[in-house]
Amino acid sequence: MSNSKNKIIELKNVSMTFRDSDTPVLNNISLDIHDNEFVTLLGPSGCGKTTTLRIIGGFATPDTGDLLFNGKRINDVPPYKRQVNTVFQKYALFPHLNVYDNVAFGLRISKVPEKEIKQRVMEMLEIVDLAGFEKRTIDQMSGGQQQRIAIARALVNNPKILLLDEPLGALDLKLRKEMQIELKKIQQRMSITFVYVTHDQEEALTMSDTVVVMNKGEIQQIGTPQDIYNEPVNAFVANFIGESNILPGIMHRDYLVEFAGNNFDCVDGGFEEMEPVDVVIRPEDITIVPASDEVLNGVVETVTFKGVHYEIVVNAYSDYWIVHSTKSANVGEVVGLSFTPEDIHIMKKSEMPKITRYTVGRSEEA
Amino acid sequence: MKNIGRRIYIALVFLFLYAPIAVLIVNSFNASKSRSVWGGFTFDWYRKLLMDETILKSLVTTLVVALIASVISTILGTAAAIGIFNMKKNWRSAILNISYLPIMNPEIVTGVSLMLLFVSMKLSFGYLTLILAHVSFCVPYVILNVLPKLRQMDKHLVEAALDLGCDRWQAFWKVTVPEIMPGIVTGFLMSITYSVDDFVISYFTHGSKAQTLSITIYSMTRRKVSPKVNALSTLIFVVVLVVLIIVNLGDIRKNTPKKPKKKGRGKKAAAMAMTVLCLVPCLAFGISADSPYSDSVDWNKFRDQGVEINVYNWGEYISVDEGEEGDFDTIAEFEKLTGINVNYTTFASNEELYAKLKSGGFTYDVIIPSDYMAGRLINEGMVQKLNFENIPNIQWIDERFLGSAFDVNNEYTVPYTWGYVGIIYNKTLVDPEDDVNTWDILWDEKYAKNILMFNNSRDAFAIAQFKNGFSVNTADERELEIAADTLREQKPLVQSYVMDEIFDKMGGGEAALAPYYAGDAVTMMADNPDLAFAIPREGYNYFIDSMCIPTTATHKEAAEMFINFMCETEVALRNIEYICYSTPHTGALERLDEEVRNNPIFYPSDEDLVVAEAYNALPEDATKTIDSLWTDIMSNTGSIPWLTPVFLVVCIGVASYINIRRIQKNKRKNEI
Repeated sequence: MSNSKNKIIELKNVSMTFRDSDTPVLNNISLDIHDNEFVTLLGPSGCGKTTTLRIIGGFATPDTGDLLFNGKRINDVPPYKRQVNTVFQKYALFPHLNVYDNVAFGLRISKVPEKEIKQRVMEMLEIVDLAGFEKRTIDQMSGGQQQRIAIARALVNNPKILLLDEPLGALDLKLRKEMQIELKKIQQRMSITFVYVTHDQEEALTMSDTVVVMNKGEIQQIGTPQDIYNEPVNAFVANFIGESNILPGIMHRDYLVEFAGNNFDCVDGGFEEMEPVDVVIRPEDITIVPASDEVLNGVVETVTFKGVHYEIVVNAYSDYWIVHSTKSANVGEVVGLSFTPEDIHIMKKSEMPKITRYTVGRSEEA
Repeated sequence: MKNIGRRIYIALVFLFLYAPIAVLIVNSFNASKSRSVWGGFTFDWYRKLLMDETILKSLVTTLVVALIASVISTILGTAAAIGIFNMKKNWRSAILNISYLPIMNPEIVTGVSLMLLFVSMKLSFGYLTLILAHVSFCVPYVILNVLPKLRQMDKHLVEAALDLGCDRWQAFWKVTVPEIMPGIVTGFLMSITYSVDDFVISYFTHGSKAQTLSITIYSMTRRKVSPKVNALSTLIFVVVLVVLIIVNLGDIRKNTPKKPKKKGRGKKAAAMAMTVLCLVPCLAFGISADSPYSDSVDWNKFRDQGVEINVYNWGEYISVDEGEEGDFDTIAEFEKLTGINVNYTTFASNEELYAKLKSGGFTYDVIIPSDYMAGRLINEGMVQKLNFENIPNIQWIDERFLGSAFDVNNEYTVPYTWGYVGIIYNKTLVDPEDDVNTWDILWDEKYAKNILMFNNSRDAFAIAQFKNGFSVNTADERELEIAADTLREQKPLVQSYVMDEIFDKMGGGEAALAPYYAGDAVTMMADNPDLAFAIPREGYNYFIDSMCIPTTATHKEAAEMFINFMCETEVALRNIEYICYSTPHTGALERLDEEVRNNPIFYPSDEDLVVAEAYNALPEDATKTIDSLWTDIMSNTGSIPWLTPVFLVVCIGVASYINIRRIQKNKRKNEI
């Protein structure tokens, strides 16, 4: 991991409440960001991820807590004095300037000689693959092109950190995938720190070195994409990162857990005896087998074709199970659900209510 | 079939919209002064317009005021819009409503209150007050145009600028201003438009030193709008049209894709058109021949002392240079002769003059009211006694016009012009057997619906009073009632009650008989040889317009010098030739064209003059009685006393309903 590298940004016990509201938008968060790291702040809307970004950018000031840049407190430094640049959600390109002038804007403000500006702007347009478009007006450019102008406009200033606020949100799926790869490449080539805000978990997992999962103004988990996906610390993270079957269970002792009316062997330990826990089983880890006494049996409720796989909802032990399988099943059929001890993840009972992404759809069917 | 119907409909709409302008443009080339007679094609009115200093000066005033007021309003309005935009919600709507008040308010209320404010602040009326007033009603238009642009603007733009190294100020200039520029430009243009357009507010806030074009045009309406105004209106229309076309062409070009846009070509062209319009007045420099003046006074007494006098006269009531050889520019001549600077402004009615004087905010050195108004001003101590040692030319004034009822001892006034009301009739429509030298003919049923009548109370009553053998200055209730009955009796016979349309209706042969001023009758007869003029033997009203000096005048002696100058034979002659009324100046009369001098319409015999009677100021009661009787005569079906209160109640009801609904809605919204 990149922990060995220098910390470039540190947030220490930062809290913030908006003027016209009682609930804090950030509740005592602490976060370290390192040199050349690609950090993604991930969470549902209203979780405080954008506010965190705005605090780093200088557009918001925390009520309490410190913001350090290379170890120096910069809470009160205005945005234009920070070595940070931002790519805004809807790009915020200047409509009255053409492509070249947009990219040159920051350099002109810092009074870089015009000759150098030209060289740097052209270089940057080359990098974002927009050479030859410099005379175009902004409204003549497509969404993806505008996106790249916004990136060029920020990067041309050689910032230490680039902040990106859901920069791909306005693009269609195909373009978004392309741009994800493109962005990652740019980050690696220019070797600067990216702080990236998104609510799209797939995007987060694809691009990041480190993912910070946030909810309700608090950080839930910080880790590599693999950590976050495979070892979610609570039901919220598990559910937010990919689809999950989360079931209430009781930890009888280490490596033995009871849920869905049965005892199962598992690989987790370190819980108190008879402690109530959440059990997570990823849909792709479950295999549909013929019904038998060896496995958990249930009735197929719905089958939906998803392209690569079928999403099969099975009603077993009065709970709904999502199964991803390349093979279809017949609605109404009694099937068995099979999984191995390695597929069972045990989590501490989360204090927050279970995220119920599938409840609505299922209750309609029920 | 359907298409044809549609086209006809559209054609009708356009006809309806543009017919008035077409008539105006055609008339601006009409050599005849009458609007109903085509006298041949001419550019005369345009030439005269370009030489008319009063019009051109007020045009310059209008443009200068519009430009300065718009620049100030644009700056203030933009700043205000930004401030309002960044306010908290409740404050924002409160402040917004307050700033829209000036345009929601009836103009007349705004105008009067501004006038009162300026008076109480002791500001002298002129450029400053005009500009302040115009700024007050232009600012809301700027706010109105800038605010939506601010709302449209992506709020992240400013943050993006800050992010890229701008401080707040740089971000404002480099991003916010260019973004809201279209709103600022529209606001500026709207300000100019509204400022140029404005009449009501300017009417109350212009001063003795500056008046706008709309007021100058209005002041010409005493007798009849000069065709010069047609020419002016045509020019304005053409300029606006050209500007619009250029702007639209620019827009079309801008919207054509893939072409690099030429920014602001339309605007540049518009600016150029404005400049041309501004330059026009500069072409109008007067050339006049030297004329010898008497050495009755030392004309050079005030030379080089920076003395300025404010002269307030009727519209088109002084000789100006109209670009014809030998034209006489009275004001320029006076300035040249004496070195005194004259601010010349104009009014349309005696009442307007009175209101201006009474308000106290205006200082005039010379005013030219009519008889009854002069009497009122004397009674109320608003004009001062003249020092006739400074006006030796009073010797030229015909004694018959001195010591009239309104100034019995001839201490306050010097007659400038006079005229009278007689009957103009169409010889082809009136039976030659009938006696036209009596007001009775206006009551003759034979001419039912062929009679025109004055559309103002005093003049209409005067005719009825003469018919009944009363004095026109009677305050006797009974006599006034009888006169009113006489007018009621006439009403079914009257085609319409009009003032200056008499010119066109008689000129066009649309009516047989009408009362009108002798001087104008001669002009009409020149256009239409079927017309003739008769003097009623029962008596008739004659007016004397006299020069006076208000008590508030700042340069009494210079004002007296001006009056003396106006009584110079040469000057009096040139003025009366221009005005086409009758002159009380014996020297001028002698030198008048023989045809005019011997025309009994201009100069009736002593015998005819005996029955003439001038107006005097009426007691307030009598004025009120006349006005209410007149309103009663004019209101067709008899007044409906409940109409006004019911209308008011309905208005208030609707307004309350709308407001209550709005409050309820807001409440509901807040609850949600």
